[in-house]
Amino acid sequence: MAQQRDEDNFRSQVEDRLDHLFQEDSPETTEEHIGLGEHPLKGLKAVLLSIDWEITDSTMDSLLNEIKNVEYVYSDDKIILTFLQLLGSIGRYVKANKGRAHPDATRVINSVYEALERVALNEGMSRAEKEKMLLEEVGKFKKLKEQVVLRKLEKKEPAVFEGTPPAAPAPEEKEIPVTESPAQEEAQVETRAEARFAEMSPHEAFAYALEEVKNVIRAEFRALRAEIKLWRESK
Amino acid sequence: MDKQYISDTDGQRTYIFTPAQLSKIEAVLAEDLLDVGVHSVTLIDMAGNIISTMDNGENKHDLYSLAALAAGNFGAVSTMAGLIGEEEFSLLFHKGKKENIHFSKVTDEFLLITIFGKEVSLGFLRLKVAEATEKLVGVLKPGS
Amino acid sequence: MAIINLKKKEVQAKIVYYGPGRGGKTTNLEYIYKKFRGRIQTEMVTIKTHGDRTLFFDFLPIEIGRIKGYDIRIQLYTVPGQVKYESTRRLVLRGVDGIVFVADSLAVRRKENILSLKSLADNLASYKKSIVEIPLVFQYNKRDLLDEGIPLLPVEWLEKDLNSKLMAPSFEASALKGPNVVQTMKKIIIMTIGSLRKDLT
Repeated sequence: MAQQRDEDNFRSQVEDRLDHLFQEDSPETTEEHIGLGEHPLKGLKAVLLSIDWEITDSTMDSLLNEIKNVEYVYSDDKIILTFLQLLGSIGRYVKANKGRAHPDATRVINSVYEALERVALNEGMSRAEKEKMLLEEVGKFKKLKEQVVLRKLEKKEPAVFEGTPPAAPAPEEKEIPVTESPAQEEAQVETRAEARFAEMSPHEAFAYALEEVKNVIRAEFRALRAEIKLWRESK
Repeated sequence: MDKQYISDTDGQRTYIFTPAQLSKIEAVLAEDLLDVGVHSVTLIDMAGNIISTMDNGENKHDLYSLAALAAGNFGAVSTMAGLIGEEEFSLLFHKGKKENIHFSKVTDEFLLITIFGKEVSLGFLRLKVAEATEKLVGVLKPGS
Repeated sequence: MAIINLKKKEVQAKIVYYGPGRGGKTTNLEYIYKKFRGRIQTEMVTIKTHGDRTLFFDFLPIEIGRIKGYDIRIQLYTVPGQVKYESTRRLVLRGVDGIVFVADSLAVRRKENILSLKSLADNLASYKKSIVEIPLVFQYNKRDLLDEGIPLLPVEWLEKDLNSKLMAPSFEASALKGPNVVQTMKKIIIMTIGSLRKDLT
């Protein structure tokens, strides 16, 4: 009898030990594991790091592809989508211009990404805060655009302006009224816009900003297309 | 004076730079590199001699020592590349807190040393260095 | 490879102090640096091991001033002497225009002198340069030790071992105390610039 009890005891001890050693992972643990390794922004971050080191058609294509991937994941999130559109716009500009791109372009790309990452990872951030961060990056984007145009005017690139049909340079200046107008007008527009912002509700303000950004991006594409066309013609 | 080399490239003894060549070199360094915000750019030979150097007037360094060390460094690293079966490395770059330094071969005899800060990203700098290198190769060819 | 800059009217040449380990190459440069740093603009760069032996090279730039309308700039280098640093020595020899061979007069270093000279010839050949043609000066260093009763190689032996074919100028010297250090340097600079002079006309 005593022997039997001993055996039972021993067996239960072994069972306990085995249970302890080979217990199943709790559901929480497994979920965490997937979350850390598979964040949707991980690929985008990696590509941006590689662009810090090397700007080629290959790395820029990787960036643009990765942006598309992330757009798919966040297709419901307008704020994140806008961030991604900014990234894509500057990315295309750098890819098209390479060494002739404005030196600040990669800096703005990194700044936009950092803001995007903070917004995407911070679950607790309010919508208003997110919009604020987005608007800050839009501002930097617009400033970069101004600098690009100023630089072009300063350099007075003859290949672009001389001997080309008048229609070509004109669209660049006309079709980007929102951002490419002279600094003064721009400043006035900005103060008026800011005044309007103060009056709007957060949703209205955001919709307005989104509309602005869409205009900027459309204009950017037009300018880019015009530039590429002229570049091809000058060759 | 037409000829730049006094003897063949292998075992060559002297390289003579005409004022025209040096002006062209300075123009390339200024336009392609200094103008985009690097702190200084120096063209040296693999013996450690300085051919031409330009800086932005703010960050001054002991360039003669840097040139000697850069030539030695590049030579050492190139030898290492050979030892691991590589023909050459495509990037030799040292990252500091405020100043970074990038080395790039311009033909087998010359080296471009660029010192830059946060104003320029490495990726962008490499694009500009590639552009400058192509132009410099044209200037450094004998008979140019 | 000497560089002549016609725009700045400047000549740059490279002189390497070569020889067996602990023979006095670095000491030569240190002596020159200490003696003249007050008078000429120069900074000595050294890459050493913790044990104070040259690891990569020492570097001492000297601006001689204007001669025949050209500013002459001489870069003095030493190589590490230890046998294991052969590839480093070859690197430092790149583009060399003139050489000082610092031989160690200690009797026990006789073989090392000969081996070092052979390695110099081989390394120069790898750059398609000839030890027979390149400006070269011998320095038989540590002669001051004779007074301390330490066995030294007679100068005739050193000449026979190292200089019988080359017939290069030679100096008995003490890099530590000073005798003939500057004279050695002057001689090699004159020879090196001399060999470039035809390129200047």
